[in-house]
Amino acid sequence: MPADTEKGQGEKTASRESATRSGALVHLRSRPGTALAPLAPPATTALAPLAERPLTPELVFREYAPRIYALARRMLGNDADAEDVTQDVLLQVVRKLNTFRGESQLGTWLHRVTVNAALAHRAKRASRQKHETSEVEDATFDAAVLTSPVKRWHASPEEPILTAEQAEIIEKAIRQLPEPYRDVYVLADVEHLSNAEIAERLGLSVAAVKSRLHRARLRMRAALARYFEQEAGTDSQPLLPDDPPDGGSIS
Amino acid sequence: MTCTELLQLLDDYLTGQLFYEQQQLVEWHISSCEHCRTQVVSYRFTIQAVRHLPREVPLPPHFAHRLWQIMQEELARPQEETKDRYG
Repeated sequence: MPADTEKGQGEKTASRESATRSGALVHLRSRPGTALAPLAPPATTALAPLAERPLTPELVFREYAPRIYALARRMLGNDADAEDVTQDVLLQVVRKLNTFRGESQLGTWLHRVTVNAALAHRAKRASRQKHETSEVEDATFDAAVLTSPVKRWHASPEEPILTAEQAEIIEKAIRQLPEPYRDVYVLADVEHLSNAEIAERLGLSVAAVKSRLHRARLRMRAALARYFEQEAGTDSQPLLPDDPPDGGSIS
Repeated sequence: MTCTELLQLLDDYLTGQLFYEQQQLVEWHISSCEHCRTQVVSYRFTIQAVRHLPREVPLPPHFAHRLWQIMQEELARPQEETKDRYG
C-alpha cells in the first residue's frame, strides 16, 4: 500500500476560513469602492469521492480516468503524453485495486501517483530544459507587468461563467506556461492543493511554491488580458464599473 | 507603498493573509493607483475563472476504447507482486 498522507489537505481552506473570520476582512468588505473581498475558498481537493462505493475496475475507469487524464493533460500540455500517463496510472491501480480500503484512500493516492507519473514522463522526454524559464526572462516579464498599460476587463466579476471558447483560451494559456510554473499553477489553482501539499509533492520549499505560483498567475493574467481586455460596448460588464477608462501611472 | 511592493503582496492580500497595517497600505495604494487597481482586479478574476475549469476531461473515444481493452487484458493476467512506480 502506498504511504498515503492527508496531512495538509485542509490547510489552505482552513487558512482562508480563519482569515475570513478576521476583522481585517470585515474591514475589506466594508470599503467596496477600494478594497476587494478575499477570494472564497475553492472546492474540495481533486479526486475526492462523492461516497464510498465498492472499488471496481469499471468504477475507476468511469469516475477517475477523466480526472487523471485532465490533470495529466494540463501538466504535460498535450493529449498524447496525457494518454500515456493515464494508461500507466490506470494499469497500476488495476493491479493493486484490492489493496485499497476505500474510495477516499484511492482518490488521494491516485492524485499523488498521477502527479508523479506526469513528472516522470516529462523527465523521460527530457523536455524540461526546452521550456525552462530563466531569471533574465523573469526579470523582463516582471518589468513589463509594471510598465505595460492595462485596461479594464469586461467579464462577470464575482462568479465567472466560462463559455467553451473562454475555457479553451484559459487552457491554452495554461499550456503555454513554462513547465516549472505550470506544475505549481495547475496543482494550486485548478486542483486546489495547498502550498504545503504542492511543496511536498514537487519537492520544493513552500517559499519556492509561492514564488512560482505568483509568477504563473501574473503570466496567466497577462495571457488572458489579450482576450478579456475589451472595449466598452460589449454585452459583458466591466469588472469595476466605476473604473476610469485608462490605466494610471506607475510608482 | 510602490507598485513593485504591492505586486509582491498581491497573493497574500487576495487571500486575506496580510497584517492590518499592510492591508491598509495596499488599499491606499490601490485607491490612488489606477494601474494597480486594474492589475489587482484582473489578477483576482484570473484566479476565479480558472477555478471554474472542469476538473474532468472526457477521454478521447479512441483512447477510452483502447484503455479499457488494456485494463481488461491486465485484469486477465495472473496477479503478481507489483511495486509502486510513482507513489
